[in-house]
Amino acid sequence: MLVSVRELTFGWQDEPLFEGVHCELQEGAVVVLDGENGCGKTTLLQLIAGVVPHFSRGKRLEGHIIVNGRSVFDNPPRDFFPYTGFVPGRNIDFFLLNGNLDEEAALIQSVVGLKASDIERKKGELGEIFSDLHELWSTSFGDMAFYQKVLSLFTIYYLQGARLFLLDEVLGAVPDGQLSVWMELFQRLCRQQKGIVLTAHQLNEHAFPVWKIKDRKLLVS
Amino acid sequence: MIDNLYRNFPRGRHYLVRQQEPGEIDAIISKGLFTHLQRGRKRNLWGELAGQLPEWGRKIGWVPDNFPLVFFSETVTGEIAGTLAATNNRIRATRHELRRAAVLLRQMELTDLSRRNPFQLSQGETKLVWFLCQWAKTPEYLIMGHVPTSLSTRRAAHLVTFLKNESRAAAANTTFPTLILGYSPGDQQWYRGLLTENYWTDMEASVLDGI
Repeated sequence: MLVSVRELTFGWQDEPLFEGVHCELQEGAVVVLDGENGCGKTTLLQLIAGVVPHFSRGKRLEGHIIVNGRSVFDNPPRDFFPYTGFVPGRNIDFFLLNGNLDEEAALIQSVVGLKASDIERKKGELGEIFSDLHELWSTSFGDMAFYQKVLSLFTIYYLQGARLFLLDEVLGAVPDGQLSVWMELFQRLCRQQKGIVLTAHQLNEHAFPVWKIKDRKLLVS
Repeated sequence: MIDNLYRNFPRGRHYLVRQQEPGEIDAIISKGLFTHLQRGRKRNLWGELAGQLPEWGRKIGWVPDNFPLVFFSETVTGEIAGTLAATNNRIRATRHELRRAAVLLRQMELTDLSRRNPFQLSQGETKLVWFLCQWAKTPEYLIMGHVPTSLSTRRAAHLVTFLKNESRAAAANTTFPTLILGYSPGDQQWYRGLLTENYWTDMEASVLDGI
């Protein structure tokens, strides 16, 4: 199991945003996190990623989240590297540590201990899916549009070998013709036994199983 | 900058602009504002920008899809009322402006956000509150990226209906903002209702280039 959420209650204030949340993400699964604006979709993703409570703490936190066999609340986010890849819907620049993708790839190679051939193979795999990715490798992150930054951060996580992808509101930035490409990518990741949780509005909710937050409860379909 | 806007988007009408890809309008606007700074002409252009921004900010409201936003108040109501006060060249909001902020929040069904800290809102809520702040200052032009981005289906439909109803009222009111809304061809269905109104024009986003 990639993620296990047990009896989770969280509130930025005394009043809980959601309570008693219980859900699991298996290997090879894609789940869409759905709900009204402000219901806590992003917060739940941030909790799974460990951004909350390690970098921003609410007033109420009960329950457990287990990722890769360890408690997210008891271990800092760095302990889940390279397992978890979190692509935020805003402030994405904070997650891009170097000047461009080539520099990120070099960093990953040294930190994770990959061979250059591994990096090239993974570059090739993504290049098969995203035909214009090759243009981004040497492009400065500062010169990229939001979608290009999203694609870059995803690429970084793919290179480092993440198994759990948490994508917050990123499909809204995907150009019309590219949505089917991302769907193909998700299917490929599923075949590799990786897991994806994404928040998305206006996505055909029948495309993937849905976790819907409504009236502070999580409804799993 | 603003003269180009007057020329390409004459007042008295509203405009739907086709984006080649999501975020194109944001890219054009931010490029228009910040390109010179990135080119290193900082010393001269701070002064140039400082001279232009107050006029730009007064006449143009901008609701981007993905762009860092800055708030100045500790509550949503205070933020909107503060925008109204600033429009009238004051720092502190009057009781009337606080009431007006409450009315705007009620119109957008956001009353439950009124006491929340704007920095603690979700992405969709932030967009709606920012929209109200821009709306409250009654700019000459209100420019938005793709309206439904970051919004639930219900919220997006509500906002489009709000814009449609308000833009009708604008036909007889010259102080009403001229709306420039972006859309991607795949998401055109959101705006069918608008294009049936004869004071809406469909055009390419690239027309914005150069403002």
